[in-house]
Amino acid sequence: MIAENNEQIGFGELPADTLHLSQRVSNLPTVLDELNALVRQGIIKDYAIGGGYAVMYYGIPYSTFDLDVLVVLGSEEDFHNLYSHYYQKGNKIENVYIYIANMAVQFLPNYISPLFNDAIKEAKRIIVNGVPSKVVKVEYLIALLLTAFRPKDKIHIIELAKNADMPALHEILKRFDDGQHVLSKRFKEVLGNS
Amino acid sequence: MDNMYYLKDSKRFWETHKKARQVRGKKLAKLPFSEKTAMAERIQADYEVLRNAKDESKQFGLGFIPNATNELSTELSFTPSDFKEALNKVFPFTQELQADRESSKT
Repeated sequence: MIAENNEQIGFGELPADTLHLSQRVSNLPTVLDELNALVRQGIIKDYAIGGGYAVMYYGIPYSTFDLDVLVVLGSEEDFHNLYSHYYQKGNKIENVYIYIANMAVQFLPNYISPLFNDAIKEAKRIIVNGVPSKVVKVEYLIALLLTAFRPKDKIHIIELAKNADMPALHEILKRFDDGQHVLSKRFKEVLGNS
Repeated sequence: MDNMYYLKDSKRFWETHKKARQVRGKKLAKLPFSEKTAMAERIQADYEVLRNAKDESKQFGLGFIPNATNELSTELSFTPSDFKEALNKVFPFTQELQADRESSKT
């Protein structure tokens, strides 16, 4: 039946599972639901969406293949417990990625950097398809992209800066910069080239 | 303390994650075209969902009152009578309340 329909619309012998995959359905609300459950269960204390998905939230279409989630954890042991939880649940774990609802999720613990910690604490509350969630504020997102500073990050920083509260951003950079003022220098460099 | 914003073990953490991203990138590059297309479509769907996400912080304060607040904000230079008029415009039921109150007095 499916094969006949495929032929009618000119897809030839496209297998049924490919058709299913090509449907435009977002799994994001399901993943966010799962993250909220982790908070309720006490496996993580808090979280915020970061990375490419946060860039997308601020209106920039972006191809990212994983969801970066900044999480508040008590210790490195809690980070291992998070992986154990999904291992026991039978989720696919590939290297550092945990697959939730067919989406590769990368958890970035807050203890890595005080910047992560504050980005989660100050995150914006949003509702995605009825699911409450948090996304890092644009000023924090810029600071996080300045730490990664890949070519694609530079492009996004220019776009995101248009909607950022500049005094707040400079305050964040001042607070989390190192002795060499790397973040501030990078920001100036990017804006200077735009 | 060359780099104050990273903790001791962050170097190891990022090395692991950088390698993982490279491995994943190579794996994704080898996927058949149909799967890449499907992935791109799912990302597009995620983008649309995120673009329609509601900013919950706007629910606090007066911002959540649709239209009414906008009308009120155009009349910021209030005299007491202006205010009453603006209030009645936004909340017509207050006129009824006022009428009730005045009729009960008489």
